[in-house]
Amino acid sequence: MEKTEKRLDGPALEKLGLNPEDIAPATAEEKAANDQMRPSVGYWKDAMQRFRRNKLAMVMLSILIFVILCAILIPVFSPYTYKGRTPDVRQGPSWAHPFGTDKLGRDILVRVMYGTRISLLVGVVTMLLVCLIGITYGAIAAWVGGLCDNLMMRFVDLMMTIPSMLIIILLSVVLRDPIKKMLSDPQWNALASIGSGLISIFAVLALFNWLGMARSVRGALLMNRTQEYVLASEAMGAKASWVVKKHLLPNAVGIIIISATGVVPSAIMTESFLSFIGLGVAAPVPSLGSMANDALNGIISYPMNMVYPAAIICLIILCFNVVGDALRDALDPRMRK
Amino acid sequence: MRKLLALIMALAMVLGCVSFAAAEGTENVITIAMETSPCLDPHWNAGSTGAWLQSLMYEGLYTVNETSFELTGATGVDVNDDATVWTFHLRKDAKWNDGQPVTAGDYVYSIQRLVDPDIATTYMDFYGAFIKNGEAISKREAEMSELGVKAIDDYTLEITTQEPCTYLDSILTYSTFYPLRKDVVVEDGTGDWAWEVARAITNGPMNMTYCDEDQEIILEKNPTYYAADTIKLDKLVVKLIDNSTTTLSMLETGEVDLITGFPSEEATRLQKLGLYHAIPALSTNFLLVNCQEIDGNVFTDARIRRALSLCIDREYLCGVLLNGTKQPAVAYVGNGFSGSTPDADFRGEGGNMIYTDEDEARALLAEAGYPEGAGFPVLTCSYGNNSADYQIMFEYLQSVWEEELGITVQLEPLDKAVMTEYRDSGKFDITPQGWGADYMDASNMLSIFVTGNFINGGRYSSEVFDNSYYESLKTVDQAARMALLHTAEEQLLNVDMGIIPLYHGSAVAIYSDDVLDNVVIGASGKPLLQYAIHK
Repeated sequence: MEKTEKRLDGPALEKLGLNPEDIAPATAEEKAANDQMRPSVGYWKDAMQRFRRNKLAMVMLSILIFVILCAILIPVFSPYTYKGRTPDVRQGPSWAHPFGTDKLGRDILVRVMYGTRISLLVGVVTMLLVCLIGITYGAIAAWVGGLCDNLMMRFVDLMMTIPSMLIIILLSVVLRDPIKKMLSDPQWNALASIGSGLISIFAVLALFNWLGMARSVRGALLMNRTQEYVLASEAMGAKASWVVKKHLLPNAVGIIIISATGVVPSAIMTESFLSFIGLGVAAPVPSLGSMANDALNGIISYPMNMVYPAAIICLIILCFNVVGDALRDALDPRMRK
Repeated sequence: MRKLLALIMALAMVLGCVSFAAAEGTENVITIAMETSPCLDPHWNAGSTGAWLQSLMYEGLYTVNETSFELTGATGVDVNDDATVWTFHLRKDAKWNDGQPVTAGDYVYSIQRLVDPDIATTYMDFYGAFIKNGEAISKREAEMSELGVKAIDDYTLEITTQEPCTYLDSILTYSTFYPLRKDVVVEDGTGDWAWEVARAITNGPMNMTYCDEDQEIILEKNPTYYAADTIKLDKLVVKLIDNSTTTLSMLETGEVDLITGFPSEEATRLQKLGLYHAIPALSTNFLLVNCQEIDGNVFTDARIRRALSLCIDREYLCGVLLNGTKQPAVAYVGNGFSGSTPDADFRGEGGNMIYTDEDEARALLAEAGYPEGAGFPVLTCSYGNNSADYQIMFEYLQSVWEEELGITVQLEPLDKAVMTEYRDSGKFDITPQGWGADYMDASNMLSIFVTGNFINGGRYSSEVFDNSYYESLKTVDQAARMALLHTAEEQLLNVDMGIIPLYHGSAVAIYSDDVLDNVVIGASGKPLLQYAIHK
């Protein structure tokens, strides 16, 4: 380092009005600080760091994990099942039944937790189906482009004009019988254990939630498609599918994750609503919505029966929304401080 | 300007209070709530709320009272020896609310309308069959002039029955036999004319002064009613609301004074608060089982129907799960119907016919070819999604049938309209049905299971049952008639188990004794509100 050091001579400094005595070589530390303002971190590590710094999101995430663990473990370790009747009918909270028992003497805690499982299952499965349909559709539209893109996107616009709740109600009524018939075929035995009600809910929810996903994926891909590195790999003869897989999709992951976390709470809400109006899972399988509906009948005498499922619905949806929000902030590089 | 406005407002408030206070002092107004769109046409109505309002608006030959029924439309009646010709001497002081007298012609028109095949009213086949040539006319095999109803003069009415009928008086209490003014009726097959206030010319204690069939109906004391001074009620406001949770909270906040429907989960609390007033009703709720001979229908086997029935603990269902608001059924016809002598009880003489025995149920199912439920198809229970009682009941049934018999039971709560359509077209395995006696005779309870009856949605059909029932209609001797009805009931339950009886209903009125006085639940199961007093 010493060798390459060159000192400015006196006259030059004087011209600038500086005292030569003030000028000293930089120490190694100072150099290091100049070299790098911050350690080199990858996109994901950086995003996770920012996510972890969001305290509210961390609290909500731990609540969510706690609820998920409860939903998985409580029905397993409880001496009661969601459909097992006990002689204690309409009891208040006790040590044996922390949330009390319902009109048929079933343990409400187990039923609420089982209903939470159903809600989470609906949320996650719908999210996966939405990703599958939405990403494929958006990617095809973005890559093929031209008239095809135009037609595909106009179809999405058209679907968006349909009042979805109306169609969801209609479809869940119409789809019931065909799905029931399909499930009676032995080759669908594995699916039959889930129940026709739940499967029709998956189908209906996926059918109406992929539109937003398709739009954002297409937008993200189009934005990246005009970037130089993509043009370069195309110029070097990369196949379309390779470019989409290697360049475009990984760059759209942030947007996909944000859309996906948005689907979960809305799917849970819709399922609860459908169960509430009696179109959801079939009794005796509990769902948070159908439990709320049952409680409505005795709302004045047994108000707590309404509070438990309603509180869990609120909690899950709040958690997913806050976590989704935090993820969006974390994954967006422009939000970097 | 502002001062003037304030003054006017203050004045208006004072005046408002004064007039309100004045109204409170003199008028006896009761507000009740019931489900929307009660049918007010006496011939199209089949629902209990419509019948309730009509019983206030109209008065027939006989009227239901606190314990039984009494002759009201006539001052006397002569019956011939074999009970085929009934001659009524109508009361001469009965008037319609437009001042015209009620004449025999109005009764004749009403019964003619009942059997007219061009109108085809709800009860044409059923009640029409009691009147001489009624059935033939409804099948266009006889002329209307041959009908066994004649106006001898304005105040003498002669009714001739098809077969001897000693209990015609109890039949005539039903709303279908109310007199009706020909000039007000509009025949469009709907009965909607009855909602028009201008057309509501009636002869009962109350008459309609306002009607919005989706919101509110107001009945006021009928000044032309001959016994108007015995009527305590000045005005009845009927709020039409479908949701029973809403009506209950309206009752508790004092917006309505009396309701008859309530969410069953609230029963215990209402009983503790002293709001719950009930008497046993002459009604039975049962499960219709699809008995049609179609491919793959396992329920045509009486052993399977019996096995299902044997699993049900009706005491537990009614006493615990339904909060004691219902009485467990021990047979189909409940208590309160007269037996072979006027003092005897039909049920007491018939004895218990159903019980709980899970072992026998499993044995029967095995005998029918499904040991431990193996190979038994999925049983679907279809029911209306508006009843919380049904939801509790079917979740219980699902649980016991799955546990005891090892079969798979699916619940299908359906919208009311869809349910009606499924039931009427016979597209179900099991569905609930209730029947309340239209008149106080056991034959009315059993009448709905004859082949082809419209309530008999499971298409239960038995030659023995049909023969005994029809034979009983022709029988004058009370003991012999009851014996035939017992034979019919035994065939229905002990031999065929064509339906699965569950419980007998209660006639319920929810009101506070601090608000209403003198509320009497009539033998028809509905409060006789014309005598009630708002404190």
